Amino acid sequence: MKDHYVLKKEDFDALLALFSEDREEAGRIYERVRNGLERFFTGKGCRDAAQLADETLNRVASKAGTFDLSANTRPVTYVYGFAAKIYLEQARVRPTVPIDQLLNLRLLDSGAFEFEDPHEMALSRLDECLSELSDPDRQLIVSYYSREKQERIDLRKRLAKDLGLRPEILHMKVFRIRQSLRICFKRRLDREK
Amino acid sequence: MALDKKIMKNWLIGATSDAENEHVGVRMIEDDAFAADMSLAESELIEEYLEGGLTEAERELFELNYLVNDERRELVNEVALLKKYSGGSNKVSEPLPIRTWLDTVFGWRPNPLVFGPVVILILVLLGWQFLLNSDSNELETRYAEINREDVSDLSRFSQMELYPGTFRNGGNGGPVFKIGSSGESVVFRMPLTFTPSEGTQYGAVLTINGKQVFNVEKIQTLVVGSSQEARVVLPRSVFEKGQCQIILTPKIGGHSPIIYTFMAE
Repeated sequence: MKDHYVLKKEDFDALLALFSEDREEAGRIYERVRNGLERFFTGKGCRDAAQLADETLNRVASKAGTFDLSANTRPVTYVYGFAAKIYLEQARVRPTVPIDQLLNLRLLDSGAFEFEDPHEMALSRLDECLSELSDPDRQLIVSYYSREKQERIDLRKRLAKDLGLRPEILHMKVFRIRQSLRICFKRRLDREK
Repeated sequence: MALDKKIMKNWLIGATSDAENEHVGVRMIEDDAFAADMSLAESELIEEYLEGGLTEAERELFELNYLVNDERRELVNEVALLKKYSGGSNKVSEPLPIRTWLDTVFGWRPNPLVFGPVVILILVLLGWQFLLNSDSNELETRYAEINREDVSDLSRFSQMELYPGTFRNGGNGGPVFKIGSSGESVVFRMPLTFTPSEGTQYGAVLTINGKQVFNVEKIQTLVVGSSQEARVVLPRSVFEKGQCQIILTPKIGGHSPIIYTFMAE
């Protein structure tokens, strides 16, 4: 990646002016855009998403004075252009890891993946962590992951309907259960070491 | 504006056009709520990868552009572990609960042009099925009556206590039902570790080796000490050796289906 840009006060002022004439409103937009950039870089699998978000805004700020407010370009699209460039710069230097070193999974004839045998220990650990969950949470997560392909899609639609939730809210609920499982899993792993 | 989930998945693996990249990228930056949609798409993408549901090209891109850091590798491992655990040895062979089947039927919007012949065909098939299963229906009818009677007196039946869980904790070391023991009927006691909402009613389906063998439409829940348990009386004659599950499905209100697992020998 190129050398880091150092933000100057006049550049920062120009950046805020890009977002809004009202300084307070511009400050709020700045924060939202910064968070959004972090989401963008995280979504692209970048390490140090927060640092890349700051770097993007610094570069935008350094050029903000040249942004044509009368042109039909939205400031967020302008910011995206810088973010996309920074992503490509860091993707070029990203180390690649051979796939056989990535995961402890083995490929089946069907094209699907399965854990290799040593992961029986992990399954036992998961079993113990699941038993620490409340009954409804345990039933939900076991049921949620119990099917594959079209059956999985149909099952989740039914689960969401039964619980009166939108699919993405059901997903977030499962996501939170997984977070508590992850904490339990790590705790047990540390204890075993 | 809703964004096609396929485009979101393609964006995650780096398979989108420049225009799509910009569209998704801008949404990621400016729309806080979009992160939830992307997270859902990401989870589905991981599962499709693990299930072998991606094309060869998509799989290569997934490994090249998605599996680029330890967090993501851990995430894929975590989902693989949960899928392995939850699928267990009864993967995709376990029958769907009865309520689900009804939901599917009532949720269907038939084309009037094909509806008539389809109904006739279904009725013919149901009639045929009825003739084939009249013995089993008779038994289910008899046990529906038994399950409506007072099941608080455990001295009337053999009994077996089960606990919620899948085959992971129902295999070796789990409860074992002896088919050859005495007693025509067995009451299965299934503790509920939560208090069901008022008016919740459960049906029970017995599956053996993934195949549904017996169905009781309505069973009773009783207060035992400080907790509650569901009880279902089943005929010993329907059992055969293998992995058994009793799936409790709420008929009115309540939770998702609860699965109790044991072995029959």
